[in-house]
This record gives sequence, C-alpha cells and structure tokens, in this order.
Amino acid sequence: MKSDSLYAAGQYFEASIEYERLIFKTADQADLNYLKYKKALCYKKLKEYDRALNTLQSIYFSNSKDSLYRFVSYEQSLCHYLNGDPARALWKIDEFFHRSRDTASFHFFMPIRILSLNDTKKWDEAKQSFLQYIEIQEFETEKEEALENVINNLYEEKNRPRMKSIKKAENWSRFIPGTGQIYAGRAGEGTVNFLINASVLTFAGFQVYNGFYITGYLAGLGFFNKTYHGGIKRAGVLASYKNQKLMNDFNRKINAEILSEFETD
Amino acid sequence: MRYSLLIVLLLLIKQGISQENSELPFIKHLIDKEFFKEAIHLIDHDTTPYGEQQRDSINYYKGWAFYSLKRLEESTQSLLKVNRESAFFSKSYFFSGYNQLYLGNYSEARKIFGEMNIRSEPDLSLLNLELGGLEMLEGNWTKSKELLDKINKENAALHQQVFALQEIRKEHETHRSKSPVLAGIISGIIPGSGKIYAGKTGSGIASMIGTIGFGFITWENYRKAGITNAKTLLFGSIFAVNYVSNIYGSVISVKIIENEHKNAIQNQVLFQLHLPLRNFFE
Repeated sequence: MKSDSLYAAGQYFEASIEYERLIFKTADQADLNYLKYKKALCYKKLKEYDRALNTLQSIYFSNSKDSLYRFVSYEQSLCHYLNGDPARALWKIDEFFHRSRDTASFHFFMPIRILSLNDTKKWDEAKQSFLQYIEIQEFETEKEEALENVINNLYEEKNRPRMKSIKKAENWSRFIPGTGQIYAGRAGEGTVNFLINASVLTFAGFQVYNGFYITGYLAGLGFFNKTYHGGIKRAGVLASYKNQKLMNDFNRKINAEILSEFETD
Repeated sequence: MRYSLLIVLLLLIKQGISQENSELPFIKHLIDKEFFKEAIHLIDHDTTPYGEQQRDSINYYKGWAFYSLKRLEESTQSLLKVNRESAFFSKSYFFSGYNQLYLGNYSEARKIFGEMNIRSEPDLSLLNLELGGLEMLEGNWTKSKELLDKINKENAALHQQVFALQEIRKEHETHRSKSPVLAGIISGIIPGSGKIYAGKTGSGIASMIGTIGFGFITWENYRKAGITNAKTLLFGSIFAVNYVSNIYGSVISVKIIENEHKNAIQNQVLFQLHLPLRNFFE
C-alpha cells in the first residue's frame, strides 16, 4: 500500500493523507478503525499529539475485546504523556484495564504508567509498578534481584526529588530577604538580593538619621518596598523552577533505567 | 467527417479518464473534514489534466483552504482564478474581496468587488454592504451611509448587519477624540494628569506620585545640602527624566487610546462584514 510505503519511508505527512484517502473510500468499520490508528501514528511521528489524540478518539469500538483496542489505548496514553498530560495518560490506562479486564497486557502499558506516576509525584505507586514490571519480565533470578535493588535504591526516600515548597521559599524571603532564593538553590542570587535590600534599608535609615526625612522615606523605603516584595515573588518562582528541574532530572534517571535495562535485552 | 468524429471520441475518452482520476471528491472530503494543509498539498502535487470547470473547483478549494488557514494573500490569489461561469465565482470573489479588506488593501478590495459586475438581488445588497463597510474602514462615513441605504430593506439576512454598521457609525460620530498635545501640556502642569485625561487613571496616579515624590526628594536635598551635592544632582536628574518621560508617556497614551478606538471600530466593521458572507454561502 502506498500509505504504508510512505510511512516506512518516514514521509509521515504524505502517509497521513494516503491513510485519509483510504478512510474516505472505506465503509468497513474494522478497516476504518485500523486506518485511523495508522493515521494517528503519522501524527504522533510528526509530534502533532493533539491531532493524533483527536484521530484516536474518533475510533469506535463496540467490543472492548477487539485486538486493536489495546494498541489504540496505548497510543492514547502515550500521546497524552508526550503532550504533557500524565494524569490523563494514567486515566486512559486505567480505563483500558477497567473496560477490557485484559491483565495480560499489563506489561505493555507499564513504562508509560511508571513515567506518568513519577510525573504526578506518586513515588510509591511508581516504585510498585516498576517492581511489578520487572517481575512480569521473567528475568533470571540474579538479574531480577539486581534490578529490584536498582529500583529500590532509585526510589529510596533520600534519592527521591526533594520538592521545594513555594510557600516556604516566599516566607523565608519575607523573613530575611534573599534566603528564599538560597532555599530554592540559588545562593548567589539570594546573597545579591540580601545585599541590595540591606543597602537600600541602610540608605533609608542613614538619610532619616541625618534629617533627610523625605529622601529616607520616599527614596529609601519606597525602593526597599520594591526590592523586598520583588524578592519574595522571585523566591517563589525560583522554587517552582527548581521543582521542575528536580522532576526532570529524576525522570531522566528513570527513563535511562527503563531503556538500558529493558530495551537492550 | 470521419476525422471530426474521431476527435470528438478521443476528447470524450480523455474527459472520461480525467474524471476517473479526478482528485476532486477527495479534495472536497479533505476540505469538509478541515484537513486544509493536506488539501493544499494534494492540489499542489496533483498532475491530473482537468477541464476548465474542474480547474475552477480546484482553485476555489485551494483558496478556501488558504482562507481557513488565515493565509489570506494566497487565498485571494487562488480564489481570483475562479471563472465567472463557475458556481463558485460569486463566493470566491466576495471572499477574496473580504480577504483584502482584512489585510487593509482597500483599493484592491474595491477593484475585486468592482470586477464582479453584480446587477441583481440578493448579491447586489450584499455587495453594497461590503462596499459600505469598505467606506467605513477608509473613513468615508457619508459615502458608507449612502451605500447602506441602498440595501434592500426586505433582505432579512442583512438586516442585522446593516443595523450593527449604522450603530458603529453613530458611535463614531459621538466619539470625542482626545488631543495628544493637550495631554502633554496638562502633564507638564500636573504630572500624571495627561494619562488620567487619556483614561488611564491608575497609571496617571502612579506617575503623579512618582514624579512628585522625586520632586520633594530633590527639593529636600537642595534645601539641606545645596545644588552641588551629589544626592541633589542624582535625585534631580531622576526627577527631570521622570518629569519629561511622563509628558512623553501622556502624549503616547492618548495616541494609543485613539488607536485602540480606531482598531476596535475596524474590528467591529470587519466582523459585521464577515458574518453575512458566511451566512450567504454556507
């Protein structure tokens, strides 16, 4: 088929048109579902996850035992995950098992499930899923034990990303300017912020002490008001960035683990 | 005679083959399903030898796909290739005229509407509505009134839009333009008042407090430390920059407000011109 050849050649946009042509000509529901599935794969390859999801969404299954149902559900959960919506990816996986009762396909969805659980910070569930995944693989006892150790170590309390509290970062900066930034992992910026606030406040005090009341109040305290409140806000933003970075680093480690331990086998 | 029959036969066979290979039904399907990029790609790579009528349809579909993707210049180019004999002619020309209105190419839009050579209803009323809107966009409010008055009052499909355009005209007539010069002058007298005059009260009060505050600081330092003191010079400079930039800001604020008003009117007119086109042809 021309569509399949184009897909195999990596011409996904052209392939998607050819699949649509077949969809246009087909009346058979089973063929229609398969062609839509293939078309969605083209969109996934083109990184157009919304379009892929819309196409998959339009596939109708009268019977959840349909062999394509598993593949469609898998792609839906994967596209949700790649589209930055891990909660929906998990929901899609749960929906599949709820509707199909197909426990044999458990391993099929596990990598996305683990990644999505990590993204939604459900560490304990992620760890259990990972261990379950290893068990399903039927590795040799020695390898299984080694992998279990790696996973247990990876998810140990001390190795999990320690998320920064945005509220705490803001409160630290409210109490002592600059400390919120230090708490969020930006010691340099925190120190500079502290020095700026301290200098402005000293200037204000010095002016008032020397009888320059208007200068001290308006220029000193007015400016301090800006740097102080700006610093509080900035501490919150930095904490949020830090959390994102911690999450990404941790997921990258898990990702590497999944790829190195399973795909190469 | 024998040769003539042979030629007719060959032509019929050719037309038959071309219809069989025609991508038109699939292109239409892509357009109906809103796969516009795909439709354009297919048209661009289609080498089927089409007849004139089919070519018109292809040009219309391509123009419509570009229009739907908001690529209005390319849409106009394709839509204008549709021939007068085509069933898509009227829609194509009205939409390419609208594309040019949207792009602000008013003379081009006028030329396109003129080329349509419409003499009968209901298209004539629609044309007058579009031309009336065009005059509004160009600021010819009296001429626009004349054109809107020509629209058939019994045309229910246009009644609402005519009313809306008349309301926009009334709003324009009652609108009092603000003067950037006046805003600058009053800001020079009382800092921030120009922005308040422009309608930006919050920003005006903030500018007022800032400029007056620096004024007081400069005055205090001048009184207690003298004109040559570094602090006097520093705060004096900040005050001066603040004062001048506030005057400039007030002038710009009025210009922005006036521009916003103009853009709002323009968008409202374009919206009212677009609605009947969709209703007429869909």
